Amino acid sequence: MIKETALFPQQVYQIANDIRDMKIRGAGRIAKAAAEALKIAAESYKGEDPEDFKIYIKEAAKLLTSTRPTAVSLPNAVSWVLKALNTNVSTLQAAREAVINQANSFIQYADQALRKIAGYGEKMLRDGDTVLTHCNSLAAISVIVEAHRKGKKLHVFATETRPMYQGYITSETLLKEGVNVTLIPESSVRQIIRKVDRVIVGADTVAANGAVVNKIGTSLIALAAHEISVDFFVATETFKFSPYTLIGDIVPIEFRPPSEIVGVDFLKSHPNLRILNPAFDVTPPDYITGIITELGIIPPKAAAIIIEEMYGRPVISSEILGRVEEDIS
Amino acid sequence: MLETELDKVINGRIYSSTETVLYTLELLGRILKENRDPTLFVNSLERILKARPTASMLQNAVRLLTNNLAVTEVSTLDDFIASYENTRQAIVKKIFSDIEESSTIASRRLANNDTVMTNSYSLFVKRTIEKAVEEGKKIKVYVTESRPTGEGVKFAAELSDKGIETYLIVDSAVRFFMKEVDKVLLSSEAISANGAVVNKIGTSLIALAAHEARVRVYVVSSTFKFSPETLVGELVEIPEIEISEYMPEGWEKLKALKPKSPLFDVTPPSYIDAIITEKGVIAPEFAVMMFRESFGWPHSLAKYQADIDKLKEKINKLTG
Repeated sequence: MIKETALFPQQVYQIANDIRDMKIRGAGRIAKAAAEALKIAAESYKGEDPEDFKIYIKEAAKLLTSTRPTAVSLPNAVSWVLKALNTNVSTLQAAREAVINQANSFIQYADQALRKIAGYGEKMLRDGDTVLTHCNSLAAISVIVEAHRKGKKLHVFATETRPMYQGYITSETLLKEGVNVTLIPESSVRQIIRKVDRVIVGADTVAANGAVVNKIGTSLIALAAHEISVDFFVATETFKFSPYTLIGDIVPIEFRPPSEIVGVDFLKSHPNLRILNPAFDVTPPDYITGIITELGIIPPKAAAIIIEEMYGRPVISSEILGRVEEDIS
Repeated sequence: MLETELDKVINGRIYSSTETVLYTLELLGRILKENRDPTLFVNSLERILKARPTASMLQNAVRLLTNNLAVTEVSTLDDFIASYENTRQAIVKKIFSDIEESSTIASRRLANNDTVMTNSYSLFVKRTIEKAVEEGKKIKVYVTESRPTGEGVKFAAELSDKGIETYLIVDSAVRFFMKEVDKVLLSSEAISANGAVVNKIGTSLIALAAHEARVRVYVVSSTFKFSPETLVGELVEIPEIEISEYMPEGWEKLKALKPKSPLFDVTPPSYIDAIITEKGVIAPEFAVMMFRESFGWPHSLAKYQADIDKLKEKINKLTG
């Protein structure tokens, strides 16, 4: 449990806890929730000094980015909002408005990005295609739903996605849209992939070399698709591209509690049994046909171009890297 | 009562192929001894053979049983029951000696400080790991849950209870951990004439990930698991099971769709470094030579039906 103090409104702690406990899941949703939390923090600030306000917002940013380590969308969203504090704001009123506006602009951008991704991505799906998806990605789902709405007849295989079964949410969402869905266990992927024309998944983080960090099992599915030359697409907003990987940072892989895999009682009756529960894995760019972003569809190895577009060229000398580190570390 | 017990075999509810055979032989024996109904016995035997074409060890064991019963001269039902019991014991003995011999050979392939990955629940793999540990080797084991049926959880718990350093992982984490693995140990439901291995769903994904990472893959098996049908071109059929009973609570709408999953998959011989049998370590492609030895060459499936017909004739005489 994140320790609550009187510093932030209860809602901000609630969002931080929900991100950490995976009640808010998925890199896109996490990013939007973090922007929302900063907005709430700004709105309900009780002090009077603009410099204190800056410290207060940075503290809130720290709290939010500490919740989950892997998805870069979280620090990216936070640093997007923090940009507001780097402009010349001399009054509290101005600083507060700047943060709120910047948070709103992020949320707006994220919503528009999903619509654009759906528009570009649906062209990758053909009438009659069988599609495989993994976990529960808003971006991947919006591509599938858009193609379905355009009248393309699709059959989707959705993996259960152990341990948290997010594939069930994906299945229900697609069913509601009228898409034909079949739920499968991950273990059957190599058997099922023979019937599949396209794989489409989301991303938690895209590294500078085009490697995609996503839900555990993604890289295994990509390998199975690669084995028989099935196209493998990643749908993701550009704020999931990691500028930090450009300066050599490794994307940390979060290990989650054993109790997500087996019950607590079972663990007690087998005290020697160890459980390893990594939440993500890394898919090499060689296994990825294309990354569908709101800026267009790029070959994975061109990921650096997105990072350059976002943070200036060359990124390595961009102040964003230093500033982000300073702001959120 | 009988139907529930037969259902366990017919619908593949026992997930270790060896345990399925032991259970079947015991069940058929009880039908004979308790019901004293050889007609019911032979009908049940035929139903099992028809229902589980993929389960080669079950097929081979029941066929061997049928052949023995068909050729042994008996004059009374009690003699017949006694001849059944003798045959059953001989087969059980063969199965356990196969497990011992194969696992002894396989355990030599494990070196001190090896990290092993495996899935599902296999007596062959279990004995292999136990033997290596008994020999003083330090072995670390990764076991996948093996969804949808999840018997890997039980396997991991049993190994850890024996003090073996065991890590349970989800099926999808196989590629994540493969770089830490030295050897993959797999079991088998059936081995086909080209050396392809039919085993619990998920096996071929593990073999693929091992192949990518250049990790050695060994199948611990016995010649009793070779599928003679594949010699004459029959394809091994992969049965599907409904998975709703293995789904988490809630999700009634999704359960209503009755999702299915294949129970097995096929690992191609090119992803297997060796098949280890009681007769030694072979390249998977060499399996065909062992088929010749075990089943005769050229092979004909007609003799199995002939054995059953002969057995039925004998039973007709007995029940007169």
